[in-house]
Amino acid sequence: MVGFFRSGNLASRVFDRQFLSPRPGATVNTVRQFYENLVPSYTIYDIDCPDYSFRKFTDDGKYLVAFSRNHQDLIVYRPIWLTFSCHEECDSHDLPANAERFDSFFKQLYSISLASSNEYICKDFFLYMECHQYGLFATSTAQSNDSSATDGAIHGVPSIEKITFYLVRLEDGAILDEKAFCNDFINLAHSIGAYLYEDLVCIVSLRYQTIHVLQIRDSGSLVEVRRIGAFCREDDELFLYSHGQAAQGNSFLPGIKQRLLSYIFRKTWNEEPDQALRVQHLKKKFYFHFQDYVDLIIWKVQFLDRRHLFIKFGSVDGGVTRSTDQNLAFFAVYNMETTDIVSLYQNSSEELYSLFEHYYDHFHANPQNSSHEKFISSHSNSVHALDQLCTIKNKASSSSQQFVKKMMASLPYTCQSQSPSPYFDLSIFRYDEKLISAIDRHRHCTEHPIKFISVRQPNVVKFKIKPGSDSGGSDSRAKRISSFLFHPFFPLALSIQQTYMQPTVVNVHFRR
Amino acid sequence: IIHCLHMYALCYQLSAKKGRAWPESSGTAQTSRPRTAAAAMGSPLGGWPSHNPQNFSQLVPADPSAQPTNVTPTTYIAAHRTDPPANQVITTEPRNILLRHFYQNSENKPRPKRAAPESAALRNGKQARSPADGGSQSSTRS
Repeated sequence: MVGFFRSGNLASRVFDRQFLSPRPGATVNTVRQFYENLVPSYTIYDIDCPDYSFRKFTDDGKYLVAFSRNHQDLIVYRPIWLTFSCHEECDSHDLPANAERFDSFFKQLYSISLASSNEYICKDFFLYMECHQYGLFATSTAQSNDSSATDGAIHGVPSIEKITFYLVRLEDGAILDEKAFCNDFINLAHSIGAYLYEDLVCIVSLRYQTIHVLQIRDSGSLVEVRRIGAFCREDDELFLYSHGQAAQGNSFLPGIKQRLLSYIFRKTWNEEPDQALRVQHLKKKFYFHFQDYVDLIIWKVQFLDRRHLFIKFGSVDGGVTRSTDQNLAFFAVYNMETTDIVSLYQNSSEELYSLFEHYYDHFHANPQNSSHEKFISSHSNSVHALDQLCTIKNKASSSSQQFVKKMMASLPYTCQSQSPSPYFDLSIFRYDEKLISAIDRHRHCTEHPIKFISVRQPNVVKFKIKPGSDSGGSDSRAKRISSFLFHPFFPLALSIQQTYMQPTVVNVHFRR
Repeated sequence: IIHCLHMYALCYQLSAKKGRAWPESSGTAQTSRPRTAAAAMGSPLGGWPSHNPQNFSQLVPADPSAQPTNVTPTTYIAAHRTDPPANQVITTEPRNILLRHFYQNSENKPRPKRAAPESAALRNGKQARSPADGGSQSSTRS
């Protein structure tokens, strides 16, 4: 790849920047190339830090969110650059011992208690609203496997006694509002069950098959604006009650299901131009599978814009756990204002795959978010990522349908699941995606450090990230999991290695 | 015409100099070729030295009887008014491109009935389902 700057030297690049102007519309991409020169190459191993589970840097880089080990407290730090003072003579090559402390990098702002006695903070759930610096957290009581169908609930989905969402102002730790769901089940792992778009949050209640759309007001209150599931429009329930229908029990299918079925009916009807064969066609395509369509449930939802939702439907057995690609699933685009289903695709649809390949970035477009999120590398904006995708596609030995299903498993997009750090930018660095990537998931540890190789100079390793202690794994049989937290724009990263029955090791990687 | 003759004289001198100062990799025997080829073709650039002698060979006058020196590429002059309409306002479409594609795909003509073997291929395991739409067909680039 031809770089914009004429050489790799930092000083010469700074001089170039004085008189060369970047290509139109590519200012950020061009300036990002400076990250090749400023890398977190220095590591402090096993830093002495409080025993919290660190969750994430917020996308504007202002806060580091952590939870206490007993899952009841929220602790927020502010990342500051390395600052320390020492009395004695400091050696310019090594950091003095009292500088290698967690406090030199992070300043604790506050610690608040979110969960009371029998509730626990869900460690995986965190959504950040950048414009007001609000964070959305969730606490839940223990999960009971009572999956009996009470009124309105469906079979096969477990129940949690109480799930509470808290809106916290991260600046000072004030809890602004809370919203509780009782005897319900919401998939809180990795924030899958909720999606934040501008000031709207949609929360999917799997047990009652309802999509709750909440608005975060500027004052910090959570207001429910829509509830989609049994009824689609706000006045549907009133209409039915006034006509005495609802009292007759569950004779009606839920509103969203009716929309789905009528869409499939109309589409099947229009497929056959010949009047005489229409009924036969309907019988084969629609009525034969009617019960299967009725049994579909909502799995996951995301916003495409303020009015449109992208809903994944599937069968009951795949809904609660992470879905496998064996199950059949459908994707619907639903317009909340007109309550119409705009289009429906099966998860093996080539048409949807071509939209996925070309416009993947629009699945997570969010106008209010920081500009960092617009530059997350994906196969729609990076030639290198597209190359990788095409390699996988060509290598897919099984049918292309299996490949498409596997790719569709990543839709709908999980909100704020990718780190916007430029070190994950595929046009600047190459790295092993199985060991580390922008998606914040726990990964298995390896013995060797993870190398970040420059794309421009393919033989040069720019920096390495090694989780775990300096001496290497003492007991290689123990299962070790590592997770990485990268600051959105500083050359600062935390790598956290957890070993079963042993203390957690936290390393700090930064640029000296 | 005088201007063109003057230009030709200049070109002749330049290419003559070229023969001495810039020996081509293909050998000195070919130095005179660029000049004659370009001049013979009637290129308005005459016999100026060029990297590839065939560069301007495409510019052949359609009418072979026309004078080589009069050959210039014709320019297009519109026969109608090209002003934009007076009240035209160009704005950004508020719906993003992904949604536009979703709406477009749903408005496409209904596809013909699908062949039975394809739905049979999907039958695996417990449930037999045929796709809800024609979306499993090859992608349509819209």
